Amino acid sequence: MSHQPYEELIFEDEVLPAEKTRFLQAHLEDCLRCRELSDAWHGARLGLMDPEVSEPPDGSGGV
Amino acid sequence: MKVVEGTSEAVWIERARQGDDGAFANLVGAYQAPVYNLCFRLLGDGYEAEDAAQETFLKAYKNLSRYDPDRPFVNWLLKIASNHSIDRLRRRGTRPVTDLEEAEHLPDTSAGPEAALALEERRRRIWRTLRKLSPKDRTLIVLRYWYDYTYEDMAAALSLSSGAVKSRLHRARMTLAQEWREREGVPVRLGGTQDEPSAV
Repeated sequence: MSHQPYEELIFEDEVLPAEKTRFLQAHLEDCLRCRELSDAWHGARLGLMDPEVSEPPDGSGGV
Repeated sequence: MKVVEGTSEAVWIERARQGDDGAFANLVGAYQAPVYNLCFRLLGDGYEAEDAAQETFLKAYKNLSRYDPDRPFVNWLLKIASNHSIDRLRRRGTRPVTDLEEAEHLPDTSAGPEAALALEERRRRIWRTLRKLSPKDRTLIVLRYWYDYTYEDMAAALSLSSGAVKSRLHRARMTLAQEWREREGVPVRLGGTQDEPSAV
């Protein structure tokens, strides 16, 4: 089976509507691959969204 | 991101187009921060980012006549900065970035040494993960998550179709997730198509 529809929901930046959330949740309960992908992307995205992480260091141009 | 009020910006652009170097200097002063920050976030090296930012403004100065006043000036500048940084990354090949990845700068210890070390570790992890992406895919991720660009903005900035932006972002997110997981010591099963039973 194709995991593509579920991957797109996992990678969606906006909050999913309830129906799509249930659709994805049902799949994640049965699919270890997508569950691991979801957990990994969640961690990577939290890292990306950390404002301190993206800030250039002080003294490297000062802007 | 600091953005100049429309009226003064439009006046400066028009005067700069007519050869007023002072007006262009005002534009440089207003936008050097977002341009430098984007170059730094893509290149990961402070000195190279300064150089790239200067090149960006030089290209903008030479091509002011091609700027479309109906579009935000800052987006036009960031497009030039993105493309210039991508060119630099391609020329650089696999040479590693220094400042951000290796955190050669001293950690900010104002929040305490443990918090500073944790922040440095998060920075290293993100930058080592981003390095796994191609220059263009890395740029898409940076524009999307650090500049809140829409798909249309990204397509315009990198001269890509919206379909190409979507497929590249999908691939980039997959790579980031895989790399993030592997840095935890647990590879993600991305190759298979067969479901496995739930562990719960």
